[in-house]
Amino acid sequence: MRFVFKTGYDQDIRFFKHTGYWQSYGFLFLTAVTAPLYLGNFEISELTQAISFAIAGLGLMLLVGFTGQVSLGHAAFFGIGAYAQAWLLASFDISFLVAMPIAAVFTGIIGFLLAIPLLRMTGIYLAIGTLALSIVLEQILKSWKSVTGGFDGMAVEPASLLGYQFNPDSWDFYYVALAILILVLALCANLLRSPTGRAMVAVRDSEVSARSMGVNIARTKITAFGISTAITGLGGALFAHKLQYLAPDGFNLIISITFLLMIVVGGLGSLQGAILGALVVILLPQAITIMKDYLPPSIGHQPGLEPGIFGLLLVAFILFEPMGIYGRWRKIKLFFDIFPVYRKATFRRQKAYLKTERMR
Amino acid sequence: MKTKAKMLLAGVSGAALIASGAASAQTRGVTDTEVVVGSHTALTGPVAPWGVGQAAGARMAFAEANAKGGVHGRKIKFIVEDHGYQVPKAVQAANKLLNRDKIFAMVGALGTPMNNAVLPRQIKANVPNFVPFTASRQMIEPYHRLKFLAFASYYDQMRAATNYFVKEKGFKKVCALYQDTDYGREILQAVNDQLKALNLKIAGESAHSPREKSFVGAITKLRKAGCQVTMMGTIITDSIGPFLTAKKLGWKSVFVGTIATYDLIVAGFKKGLMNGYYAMTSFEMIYPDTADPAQKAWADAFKKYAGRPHTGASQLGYGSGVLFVEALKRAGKNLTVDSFIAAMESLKNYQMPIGGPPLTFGPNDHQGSTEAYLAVVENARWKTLTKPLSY
Repeated sequence: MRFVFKTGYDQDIRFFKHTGYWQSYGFLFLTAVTAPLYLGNFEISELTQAISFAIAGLGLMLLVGFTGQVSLGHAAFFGIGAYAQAWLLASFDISFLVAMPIAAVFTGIIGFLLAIPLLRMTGIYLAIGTLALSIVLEQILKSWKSVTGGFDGMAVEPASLLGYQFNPDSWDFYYVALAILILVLALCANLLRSPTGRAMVAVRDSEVSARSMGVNIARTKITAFGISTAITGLGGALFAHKLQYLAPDGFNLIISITFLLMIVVGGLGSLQGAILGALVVILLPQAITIMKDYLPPSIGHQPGLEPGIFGLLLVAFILFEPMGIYGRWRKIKLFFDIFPVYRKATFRRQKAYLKTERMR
Repeated sequence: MKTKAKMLLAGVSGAALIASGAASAQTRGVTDTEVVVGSHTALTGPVAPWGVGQAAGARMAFAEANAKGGVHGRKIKFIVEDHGYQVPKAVQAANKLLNRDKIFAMVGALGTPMNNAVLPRQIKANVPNFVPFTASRQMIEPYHRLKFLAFASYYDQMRAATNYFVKEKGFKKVCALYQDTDYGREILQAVNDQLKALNLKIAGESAHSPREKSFVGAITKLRKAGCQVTMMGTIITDSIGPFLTAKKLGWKSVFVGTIATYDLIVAGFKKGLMNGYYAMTSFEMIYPDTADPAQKAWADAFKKYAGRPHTGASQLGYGSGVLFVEALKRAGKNLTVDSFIAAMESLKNYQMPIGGPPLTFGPNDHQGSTEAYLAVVENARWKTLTKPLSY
């Protein structure tokens, strides 16, 4: 067991609380950086795609996991980011690294404006309101032909920097994605220890208590939505380069639900959960597909096998580990940390809702 | 951390697999005993009936070749990935096929947007796009040495149809009803181009969204324009809709669709309601009770192989498989992308076992045929009316 000796107040908000963090995250970082050495283009390409989903998931995690506002419309912002990126590159002679933040901020502004009416609703009504966003955006993408290419979609200009053209299926673009992911992670972690982030968590836990502590609920929610959509838009911009070709069907309601599923499976209320969830959502179907190649044809050639098994695994997961992968990891860690005095009740939910807040 | 470690393990074993596969191969996907072929298609989602039927047809063609000992001693390994008619999934599927399975060629990839999304990376990997399951002009234009199309594009089909109805039937007023997509506009372009060549002008046109349900306005508009024949840039539901609307309004006119509407669902809709609907097609539908013994044998063989009756898509899938096997045979023992392309270009007047016009390829001509038949629905079944038409 480890005892951390406190010598200053800054220690409370440090990213890495003790050397154990440095060791484990350092190892993780090294694994990620050296991945192209021992993984083929196929795996690297899948990882790049997982990273773009992870960034979108981080955005959604801020909203759902830390502010407690559900959204079924984040595919719309993912799409706005992706199309904005493609449109910026097609219309102006700028680098993709310049276009990305512009696309993200643009998405954030749209999210911010939409949040003003949307976040007057809570709970299931907010879910319905944001669900409409997914549907409306799909129609806009299909109808606004001059910008989006309509049903037929549009090609995305390849990412290039100083004359070097990135291959989105190869290690070079993987590093671009990884760098952006680390940047976004640092940004999110930093946000969460700032007053804004604390206010978000307070709103999630109890709006009444938050208000009594002087938190401006409306402003906090709207800010959270704006930041969340901007980050999701950035993920979309990265995804646009990964795909190289955008079509409206890539940003429909199914993707919104996938995002939500991703952060729930990963573990609500933790940044790590968004990344673990993205890895599951992207890599698990491919793993099933690969496994399928080794099955006898009578089973392996059955249409609809992959989505079936994928769905079954996810249902099983949510049934048996509602706290997600990161929740499970924390339990395992704690088990060894305090061995042999681990109690199951440690992770039982302590929060007592006010009756009026329970169903919202 | 735990997942990461597992992934690392999986990755290492995966890399080892790839390395062992690459050691003996000269051309990607080709060894002395095997050639790996892939396809991304829709086994789930809105067009799953096409994808499932087509994949089964191609599988059967390859299984037949393998049962005979393969081609030049090489068995064909056919890997089919499902994209559910979604572009992002198609890109993921293509990533697996191109980067993990290291396929030699893509055979019968389904969907125009999916092909468009996959093609750049496929061409970069030097993998031929062999007879995709879409007849869009974009699959063959602009010319690329790796792109092959067996049959007439939608554009060719509708030019031939326009030519036929103006020249043979003496119609002067030709109209177009199309969905406002690349596909629909390709048909409009074909009608306009052919009418221009015949010194005529389009009499009326109407565009709709692919999910349109009501066609009363469109049909009234075309009726007022006095259309004698309407060329349809439509797929299944938006072909049935306008045709039945016209019937209900008591307007007797001719409607002609592309191969995308040459489907058992269209012909069999409510057992005869679609009688009198025309479609262009590059092959002839085989019905299970056909009198032709060869066709009957094929239909029975398919049912035995796949465990369900075939569809038009199965015929096309089977055809593309047979054509691919023929190209492998001609490419000889030393199979490379170049020898494969040369083999395809040597095909002259090749007759597919599933019927259809003879196919001729050549250098700078990677489209087998630009001709298409005219068929009509009679007693809820497709009946071919003409020899292959051209323009």
